[in-house]
Amino acid sequence: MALINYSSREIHCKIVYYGTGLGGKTTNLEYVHKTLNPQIRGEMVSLNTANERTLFFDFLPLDLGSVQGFRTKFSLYTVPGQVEYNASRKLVLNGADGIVFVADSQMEKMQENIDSLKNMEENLAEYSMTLDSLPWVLQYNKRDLPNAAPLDVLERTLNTRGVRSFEAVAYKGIGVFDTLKAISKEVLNRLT
Amino acid sequence: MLNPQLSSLIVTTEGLKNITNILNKLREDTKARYIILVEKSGQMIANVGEETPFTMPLSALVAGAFASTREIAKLVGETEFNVMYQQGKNRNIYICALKTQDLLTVVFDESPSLGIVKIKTKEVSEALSNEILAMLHKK
Ligand SMILES: Nc1nc2c(ncn2[C@@H]2O[C@H](COP(=O)(O)OP(=O)(O)OP(=O)(O)O)[C@@H](O)[C@H]2O)c(=O)[nH]1
Ligand SMILES: [Mg+2]
Repeated sequence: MALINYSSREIHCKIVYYGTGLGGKTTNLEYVHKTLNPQIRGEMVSLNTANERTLFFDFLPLDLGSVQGFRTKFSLYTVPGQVEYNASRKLVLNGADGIVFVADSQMEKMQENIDSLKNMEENLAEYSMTLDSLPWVLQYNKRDLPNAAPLDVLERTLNTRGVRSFEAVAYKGIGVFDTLKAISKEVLNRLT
Repeated sequence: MLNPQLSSLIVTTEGLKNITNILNKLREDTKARYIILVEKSGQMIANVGEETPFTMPLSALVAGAFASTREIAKLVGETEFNVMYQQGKNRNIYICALKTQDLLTVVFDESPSLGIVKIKTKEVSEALSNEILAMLHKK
């Protein structure tokens, strides 16, 4: 949940990157961390398995400037995408103000994307949240791969609510900041 | 104008002052190095004591560790899980959940006894919860 501090004049919001295992959630945060000036981003914390898969979450704090005299601070989190880590995935969702759903564009990952989206809705429901009440955006990642599904197929399959969506190649940074800007703007629009 | 209806916790100047006073007193009583009050989803509400550059990741990790340990407790059949304690060689961390589920996190070295930290945090937890509840309900 957003925390508005009138004393320090800061707004703190939590954004969660959700999606299938190996979809590129951690890569998004790594790119943001690598690209931004250390004055506006803090250190990234990653709780990983031995083989670099997310075990609990990645965390990256950002300072995204001022809105109406308040400094806006965002905490970016990723969840572990692997199916068996649902308990920790659910914990990370607690208090989310906005979500980026990172879909893996590869044709053969379509069912996994659908399942992950459904799983996200179920987990949100446990906190009495729904995809209609919460700001969220879609990112179609791995657009560089030859087996990537056409955009209209992804839109039809995953974007039945018609939220904003972005094509991305996260490890090259393509689409990473467009996605982040869109979700942070939507979250702030809710608050102000 | 900020829309207070949609945000769940508004930290007012007055509320923060009251909370900081309580935390400062707790720090005196326990000789803690620093104390952080962490909102349950991992944001820092207030901190007192030694400056640390790590309050943001600390808050995120404290909330994660506590939430995860509480889930473990549930899975083994324990529902009353309110406290977590980690004892190190130089530093000890005592985390206690308020009734609002926010986390009072006390970092201390060997000087005060764990008993004192336990008693003193318990003593202030009601007052802290009330300050947070007052801010939650303020519109
Ligand atoms: N080809 C291609 N590979 C990518 C892209 N984005 C990320 N990857 C690669 O995909 C792999 C998995 O990326 P991660 O960011 O670790 O995936 P994740 O979603 O965090 O996975 P979990 O932590 O298991 O949930 C890594 O080897 C990345 O380098 C992309 O746009 N194109
Ligand atoms: Mg990951």
